[in-house]
Order: sequence, then C-alpha cells, then structure tokens
Amino acid sequence: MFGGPAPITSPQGNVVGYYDHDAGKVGMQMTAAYAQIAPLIHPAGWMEVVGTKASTPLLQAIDHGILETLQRHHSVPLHMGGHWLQELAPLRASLHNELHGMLRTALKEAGLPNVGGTQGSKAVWLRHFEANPDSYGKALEILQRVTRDFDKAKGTNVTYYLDRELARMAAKTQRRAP
Amino acid sequence: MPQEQGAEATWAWYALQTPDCSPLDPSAYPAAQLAERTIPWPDWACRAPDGGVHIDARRSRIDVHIAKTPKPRLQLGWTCEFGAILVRRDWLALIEDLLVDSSISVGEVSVSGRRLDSWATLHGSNAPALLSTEGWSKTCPTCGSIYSTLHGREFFAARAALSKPVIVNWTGIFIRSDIFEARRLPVPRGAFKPDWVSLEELH
Repeated sequence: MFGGPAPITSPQGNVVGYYDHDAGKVGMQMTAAYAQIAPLIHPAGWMEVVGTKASTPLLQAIDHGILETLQRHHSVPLHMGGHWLQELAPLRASLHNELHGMLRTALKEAGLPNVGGTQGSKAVWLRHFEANPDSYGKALEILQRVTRDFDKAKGTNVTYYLDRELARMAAKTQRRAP
Repeated sequence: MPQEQGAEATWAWYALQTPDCSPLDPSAYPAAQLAERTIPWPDWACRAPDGGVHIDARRSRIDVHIAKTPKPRLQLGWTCEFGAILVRRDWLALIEDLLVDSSISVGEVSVSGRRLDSWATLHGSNAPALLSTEGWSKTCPTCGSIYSTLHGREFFAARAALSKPVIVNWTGIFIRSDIFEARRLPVPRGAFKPDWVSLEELH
C-alpha cells in the first residue's frame, strides 16, 4: 500500500535503516484502539499502562496483543555485553524470530556458541570470549552484517538501534578507561 | 533417564543459567591483559599459546576473592572472569558426601577480605570435558584444559567419567543418574532444569 520499505536517512544523507509502513500501521491501529478504551477501565491514563504489567485480564489481553504484533528486540544481545535496558528495536513477532534464526545460524557457522539455553547462556559466551580472545570481534562483525542484511531484505531499521547501542557502549568503555 | 545407557554412564547436568556473575576483586590479584581488557590474574589462571585464558586444569582447590556478594536468591553462581563455579553451602550440603573423588575440591569465597561462610567454590581438576555432536573443542597444551563449543547432542567421551558420582567442569555440575533419582535433588536456583548426559564413544 505504501510502496515498500522507505529508507531512513541521517542528517548527513546516509541510509541508516528502513521504515516498515505495514508494521507501523498495525501498531498505530492497535495503539489507537487501546487509547479509546483504556481510560474507561484505567482512569489514571492509558499511557501509564502501556509497556507495564497491566492489572486486569482485559488490559493484559490488549497488552499481549500489542506485544505479539510488535515485539522489542535487543539489538546488542545480552550475551555480547548488551544492556537489558538498552533502547529496543520494535519488530513484528515473525520478523523477530526470523532475525534470531539468522543470527543463530551465522554464529554457529563461524564456530561461535549457540544463543540461549544450556549451550548458549551468558556464562557460556563469556567463557568462549575468554578462551578465544579474537572471537568477540568476530561475533560483533557477524551481528552487524546479519542485522544490515536483514534490514535490507525486510525493510526494517534494526541497524539504527544497533549502531546507537554500540556507540553508547563504546562511550561508556572510554569513560571507564584510566 | 535414557534407557539405552546404564546408571553408571548417565548424569543429570546442572548448567549455569543465571546471567548474574560475581566479578573477581581486582585489588586482590595482579592485573593482566586480555585483548583490550585488563582482568584480574589469579594464580589458578592459565593462558594458552593462542592467547585464550581459562582455569588451570591441573589445579585442585580454588579460593576466590570476589568484589560483590552473589545475589541472595541464587544457589549456583559463577565468577565473571574465568567462570569459576560458586555454590551456596545449603545446596552443596546435599551432595558434599559424594565428593569422595579427590579430583573435586571445595574452596573458599571471600568478599572484601572476609570469608563468606554461605558460599564455596567447586572445581574438578582434569575433569572429563563435555563434548557435542556438532561442536568443536581444543586442548590447552600447557595445562590440558579442554574448551568445547556445544552444538547438537552433548556427551562425555572420556572413559574416566565412568561411574563417577559427581563431575564438575566449566559447563556445570553432573550428578550420576541413580544418585540424582534416589535423592530427588532439587534444582539449585541459578541453574537450568537438568538434562541427561551420557558417556558415549567419540564420533
């Protein structure tokens, strides 16, 4: 309907990601519907309950509906040093699963550990990075490449969030340096 | 428990689940470089010729100085550097009588120079390595520590594992299946629900 994903450009004119109109439209429709009914059952205001643990079964059902449609993706995985409270990239559930599947495959092909579970917990990843000091750079390169390719193919803009989070992590590391 | 394997060759595997690790106390150890990071360097650490670091496989008991007490809700934890296994004493008491094998040692945990009575380290020297059908492994030529990346089905390949009541290596704690079932051991908080692992011929 909107003619495919639209590129998002930085002030310098570089393409930093793509906007998925369809996902955005679905999200806006659900949020609008939620906004109409939420004040009736939550007088404190609907904005306060979005993204929090809703208190009634109806609110929970609506919350789940929104979250199922638009999930939140940690662009830098926690096992690679990403922060739990990083700025999260909105992704439709099916795309979110697909991106994780692509990352899992690419990391395995490069000889890196699994993602999640007993074979890929944070303890496993830290141990891997210590036992193989060059592997952190390799994992980071794969993360950036896969995310970029995914954005290009799917019309998403996860790279934008990834670059911002990596810059934030780099700045934090510099501040810690003596 | 898998039917094709006898009890003497099957273990319940408690792997570390919690992302909360305890950093080693940098003031208690000399410093060393790992890639671009500076890390504490305990006397139980080993560096392989390829630059990789790990716990020296030849070491028996490991005492650790950590900078922060493990979270109180946990019963199983790890050090952020080298991944030394930390066990709360209340859970350790359930299996401590099984540590008859001299290759498994219980060590002390200290915070800010004070011994932490409720926690201990658990370390197996030259412990059988957990391998997997689609992963790879490498051995440190200096200390013999085996590092393995796990993909596919996990298994032990070392005959030395046979009949051991408890195995401790960097991937976690393994309790022989007959003991696990007889004692109905609870899952320590901080570990995954246990999987079964068997001794198999190397593929």
